[in-house]
Amino acid sequence: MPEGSIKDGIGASVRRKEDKRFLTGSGRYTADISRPGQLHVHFVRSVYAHANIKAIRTGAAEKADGVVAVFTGEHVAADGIGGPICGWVVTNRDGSPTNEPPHPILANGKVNYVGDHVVAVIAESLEQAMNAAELVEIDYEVLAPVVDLATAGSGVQIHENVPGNMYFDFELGDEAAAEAALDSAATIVELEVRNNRLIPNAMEPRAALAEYDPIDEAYTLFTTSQNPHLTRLVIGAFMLSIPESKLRVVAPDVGGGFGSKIYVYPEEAVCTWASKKLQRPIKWTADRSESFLADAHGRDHINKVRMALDKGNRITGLRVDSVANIGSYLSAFSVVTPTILHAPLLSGCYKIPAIYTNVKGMATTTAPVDAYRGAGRPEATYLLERVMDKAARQVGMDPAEFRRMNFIPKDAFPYQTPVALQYDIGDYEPPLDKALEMIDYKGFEARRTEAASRGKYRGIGLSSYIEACGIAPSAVAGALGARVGLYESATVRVDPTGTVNVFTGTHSHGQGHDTTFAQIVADKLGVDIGSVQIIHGDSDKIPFGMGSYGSRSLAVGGAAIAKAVDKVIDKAKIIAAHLMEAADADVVFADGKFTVAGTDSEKGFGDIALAAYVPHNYPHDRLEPGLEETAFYDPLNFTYPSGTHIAEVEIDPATGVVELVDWACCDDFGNLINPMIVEGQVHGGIAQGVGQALLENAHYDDTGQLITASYMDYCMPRADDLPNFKVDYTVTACTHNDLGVKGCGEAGAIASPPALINAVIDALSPLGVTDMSMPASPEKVWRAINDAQAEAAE
Amino acid sequence: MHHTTYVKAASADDAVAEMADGAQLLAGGMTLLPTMKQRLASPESVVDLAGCGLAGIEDAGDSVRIGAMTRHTDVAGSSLVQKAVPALAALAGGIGDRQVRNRGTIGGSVANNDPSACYPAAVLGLGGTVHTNKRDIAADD
Repeated sequence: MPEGSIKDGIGASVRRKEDKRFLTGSGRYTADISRPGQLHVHFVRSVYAHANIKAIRTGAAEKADGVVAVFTGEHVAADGIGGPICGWVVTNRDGSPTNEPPHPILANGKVNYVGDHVVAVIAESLEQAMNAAELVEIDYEVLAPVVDLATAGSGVQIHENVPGNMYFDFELGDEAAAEAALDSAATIVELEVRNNRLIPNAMEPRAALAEYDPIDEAYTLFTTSQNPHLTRLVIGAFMLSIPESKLRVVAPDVGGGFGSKIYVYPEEAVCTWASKKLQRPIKWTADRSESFLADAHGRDHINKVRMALDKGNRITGLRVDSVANIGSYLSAFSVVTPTILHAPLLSGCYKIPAIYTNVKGMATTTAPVDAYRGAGRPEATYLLERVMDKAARQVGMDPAEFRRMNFIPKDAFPYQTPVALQYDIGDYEPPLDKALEMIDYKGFEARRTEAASRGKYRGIGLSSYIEACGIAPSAVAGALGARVGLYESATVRVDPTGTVNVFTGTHSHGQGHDTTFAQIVADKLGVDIGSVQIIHGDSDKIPFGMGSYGSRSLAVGGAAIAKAVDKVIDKAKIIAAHLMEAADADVVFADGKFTVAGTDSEKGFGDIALAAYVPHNYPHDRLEPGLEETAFYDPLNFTYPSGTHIAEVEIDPATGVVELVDWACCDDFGNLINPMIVEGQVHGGIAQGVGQALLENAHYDDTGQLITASYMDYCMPRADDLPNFKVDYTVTACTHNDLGVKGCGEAGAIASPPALINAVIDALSPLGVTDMSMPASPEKVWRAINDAQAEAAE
Repeated sequence: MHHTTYVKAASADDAVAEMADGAQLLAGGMTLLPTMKQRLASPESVVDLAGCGLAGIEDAGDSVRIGAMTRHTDVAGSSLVQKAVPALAALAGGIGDRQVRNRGTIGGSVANNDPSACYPAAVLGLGGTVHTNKRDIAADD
């Protein structure tokens, strides 16, 4: 395990290199890039949730000032343009495949959600395009919408090849064993929960700028993407049917993604296609309303949970029946998020001998739903940690002790769960104990009493989570229906003067990779961190990589970088041996210096670099000149961060407002590269989880209109909603990557919602309130209190 | 936003004349401008009331008179309002954020009369009177 031996190495809280440009407004985002002669595209979007298109009249728009072209689905179909593909599908219970409907980049005769792309108006200026768009007339034959997830199966059929509006019917686990456990249980705990739909709200809305070079017959697409190579593969090979090598995709600075910028969207494909048709660069920038309407949404499950306990209150079985809202089209990871990334997490941190789950993925006339910070794991953790709390209450046990009793013990690893995953290593009690101590769990009842004397209800709630990230071993993914591999690439190119360039197939859109990856390289090579450049985001420069999501950048991307650096060191040692006239085996590399054991011979890393590129004195018979190595790393397993979060709330019964008064968390992320950045990730994740649990909710009315389509109606968490977080860590190093890292980007968002809701229920349980749904808005809480008091009065 | 012409009125009469020509009155712009940016309103011209001398807070003996163009931040920071009607100063200090309070006006808020907004509720709760260039309106009305 590498140790931080220099001040900016592994384990140091180095300030982020990228912050200088971000904090001074000097970031270079897609919308900042302009090309001479560029045109602007504005989309006419459907105002109905479900309708047939009878006619589109574009004549007036085409004649409007500055308009160069107006395209519809007919133009797209005539050019044979394909739609965005679903990158990972599953096999149904009955062996049939996922039903995949057509997904045109401009509507082909039918619209399926409010915001669906119908017409692309292209003009010299954005204002001209927007004005002309208002002149487009569309005759719609309105159809009944399908909005309610619970009844989507009996709604009007949306897609011809998706009967019953069911894209897939997935199962995992052993149904007979789970049912047997429930039949013979001493106690059964039942719970239905809703994981509310969220809208990602990355700070930077999506944008794209595409240009076509007629001499090279090649395209360049600048786009807000978390994974430029995937975008290139999908648009090049599957949508435009051009040689992949003729499309360069660049994702420059990207202002947040959280999953919403993984997929290939119609807008960027339209820009790319149109750039050749019109022989001019085409630029598009979303406004915030479009982000609300047409960015892929997140979550939206209904889960029915049944847990079996024996007489000793140990969990013997778990059954979860779920419906997941996938929306109107299959977005890239929309099928796998509620299945492969969700179902295998249902064991949590606990020893559960029998587990079964069935997940039905439903179509509705709403925006496509796909991965959003946590992607399937928040949904699993929420239902599990809610039922754990309910179970503890039902059998009269303290929620912390009930969890402790059911934890997988630390000597049981590697631990094979009954839901496919094998956890490599873990130790769940220390984080629980640390969190209990940090929040002063023992002193809570006194605080509850004190709050009551002020007329307030105080509650405390836990969540002990585990998550699977660092996706993924390609063979496993393929066996589970993935259409892509999930390795990562890294090239480490040393310059003649010893500076280092690292090309990574991951992408940084807020995670701070420019800094953390440089720390790894600086640490391993013993060079100054200022001499290490991290390059990402340009398909022309970087070997094929899979991008950043699923907390994979460090565990997979970082591991690839470490491997490539090791190859560099191996080659450098041979060169050093030659220069120092020693045997390879006698050369030692440490702190940036090559030495020969037992002598005072020494060569610096810079000496070796120069020798490699000016190979006058060089072992040409054994080695090629140069010092550049590439590694592709396919992980051996997922990684399994885990921990415990504890929330403390105080509720004012007069207003229903839930105040978050304290938060303590202890997470095991394996080794930490930059503790400051890790803490930032934890803070951000908790903020998003608090947003889901207390404030945010994406709501369509029963005509399929998105009611929460601006910040007036969709409530984002703000700094004053949050307490100072008490954050600590334990470390059980990941056993299967050299850095011993697990990843940390999503854990906060996964752990936090159930901790908060459990705290709210705990606060109100003296009143007889036993359930609370997300978001726990003031009105909802106030009504729950009043209903409980009314009932008690009867 | 659709194209619009901006006119700055020198007086209330000036503004009334512009209105007769079809212009939309612009007070703080905290409601009108976002509406225009969303293309939900497209007045051909907007007439800015900022130069009409309609701002100011006055001690009227048994009442406090607040000019329609008085910004929220000035109501919140006024020692007269803080003494006479502290709840009103607190209310003004909690509207929106700092930028909104520097621009938004009591007149604009009351004229817009959104039931979920702060000032209309305050006018009602305090039994205030709204004086326009044409009439006086009691809160209950």
